Amino acid sequence: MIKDIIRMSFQNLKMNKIRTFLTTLGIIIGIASIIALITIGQGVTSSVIEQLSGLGGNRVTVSITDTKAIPGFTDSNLREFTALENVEGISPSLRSYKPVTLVPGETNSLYNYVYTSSASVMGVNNYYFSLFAGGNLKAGRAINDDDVAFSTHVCVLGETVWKNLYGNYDPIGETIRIQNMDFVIVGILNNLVGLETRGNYSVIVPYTVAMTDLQMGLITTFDAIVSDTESMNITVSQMSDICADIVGSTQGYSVTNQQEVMDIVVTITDLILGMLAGIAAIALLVGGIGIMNMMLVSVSERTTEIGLRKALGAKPSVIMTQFLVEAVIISILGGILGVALGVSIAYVASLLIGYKFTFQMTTVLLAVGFSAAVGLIFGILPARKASKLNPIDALRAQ
Amino acid sequence: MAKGTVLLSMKGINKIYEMGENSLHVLHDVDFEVREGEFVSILGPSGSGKSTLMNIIGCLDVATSGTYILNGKDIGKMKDKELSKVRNKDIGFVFQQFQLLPRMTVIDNVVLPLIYARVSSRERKARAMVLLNKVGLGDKITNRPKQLSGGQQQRVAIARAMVTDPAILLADEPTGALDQATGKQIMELFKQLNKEGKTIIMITHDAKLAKQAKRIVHILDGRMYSAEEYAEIYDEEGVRWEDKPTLRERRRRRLNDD
Repeated sequence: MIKDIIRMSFQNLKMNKIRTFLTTLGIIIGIASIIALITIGQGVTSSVIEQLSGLGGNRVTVSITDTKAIPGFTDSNLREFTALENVEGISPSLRSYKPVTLVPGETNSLYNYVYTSSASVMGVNNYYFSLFAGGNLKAGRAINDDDVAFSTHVCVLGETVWKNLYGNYDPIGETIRIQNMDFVIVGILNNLVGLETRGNYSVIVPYTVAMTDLQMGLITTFDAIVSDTESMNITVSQMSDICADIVGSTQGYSVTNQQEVMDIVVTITDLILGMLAGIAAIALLVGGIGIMNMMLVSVSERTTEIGLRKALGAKPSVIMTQFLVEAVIISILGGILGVALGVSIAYVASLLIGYKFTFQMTTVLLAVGFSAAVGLIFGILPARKASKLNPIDALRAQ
Repeated sequence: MAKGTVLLSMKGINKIYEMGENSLHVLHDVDFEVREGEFVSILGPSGSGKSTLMNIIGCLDVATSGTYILNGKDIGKMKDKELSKVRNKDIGFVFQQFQLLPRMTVIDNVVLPLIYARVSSRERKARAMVLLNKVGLGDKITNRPKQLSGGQQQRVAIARAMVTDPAILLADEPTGALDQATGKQIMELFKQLNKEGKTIIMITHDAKLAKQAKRIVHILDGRMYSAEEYAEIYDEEGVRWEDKPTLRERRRRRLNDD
């Protein structure tokens, strides 16, 4: 019998195509916005986390917070950290704005004049490239351990700096001048997205060069890569001890496990996502009320029909089922169309914003199930009203 | 008196509508019996309580007091769900306004009661076809009701009423929306169905139509009378004999007026 009821429901909905579509629209908008927001949110979050985590949740950030007490870590200080058993390596960084002068070279036919621009100079070691730039270079090579050990005057250009200075011209092997010192360009970074976008605007040099030759001061913050995350807590406390030794106090420094930071980011993004989904859920609620409204109109329009069906032997439960089925069909239809629309929006957004588009079947099933539930919930009141109609009054209504 | 087993038996049926402080006593101690194979007319003017009686016979409503046995079932004690079942299996309704569902085809209208009886789709079609052929509409099964004439629509409604092979065919002013010629054809169809053994109860206010049935019962002010009882109390125009002035009185009045 349920088959017949479904068939009759479709028949009814087909008779009022425009009304059915308009009612469905409420659900379409609600589901589409939820799907789009969740999919976009998940994509952006996973991109951010991917960049944040770098090699994984195995990073500890060590900083001097009280630079009056102590200006920063010296190179020998840093070696104390690298000496720790569980530390695979450290990624220090120094930053400062410097005028950067383009030196006309033999192969550079574009610029045969001196051109000066201001750029951020960043002192790092090779870990910077694997941690933040994903080992990702557009051309050439990264700063390596030899460059750091021998304070070689080489540099890698961030993408924006490269474009500013050279346009699309290949600069590898060319020379730029910082504080009257020549640096040979060995590589170009790929465009960085996410949290570490400063690299795009930087000229990247070995940190040893930055500390000594460029006099950019001491290292105030660095990331340490821990090889065994199981013993993370022990390593963190060992690092705290070293810091306390260097600073000479139990304050004025911080040792933060990146996992904690990541957890916080995830918590915050989840919160924002939840809020957005909540707002979208309001749209869905309005859609549900639309269904209820339409079904109530339908019940009063079809009073005679309901009376007749009852006279012909339809039990109240059958009438109730028929109206519920109609409401659920509308909402499932809206759910499916809404999912299609929402996923399309998310896909287009992924192309525009530039995050990885992922599409989860569970989200889709959840959305369709949820919309069916909305239809069921908001269909109950009209369906009950229909099932309780007195057949005599209903037949007389004509 | 007709032979056959008693299909329908009402004893001391009262129907009282409570409306706030007032109550409306619509049916007074109605006793009514219909045997298998009968064709009975219930004749009464509007406001006589005949619609209420029809609703109770049709199990659309229940009496306030009294017993009603239909096809061996005690209707008075039934709940909504059981009443639905009785309406489906034991009663075939024919309404004045046909009451076909406009969105559905003729055959879909006819099979509707069988859907509620949970009959399989194939059997539904087969049974509906038999009846549609019988009422002469076997070639119109995919039409919509609006494409048919009034008489044809009523035939579809009769096919629908017959499709569950109910104990009683209950017709409420079945020719009320039809012209005379078509109405006559519908009445012929009823007579034929009755001849084939179908028990029919027809409710009408039209004395001429009522006479087409084998038996007439009268209903007036919520009380039921057999044709003989009625003839003792009322004249052919429905005026009480006792209210009628005698010849002598009429003559006296005329003298007074002059």
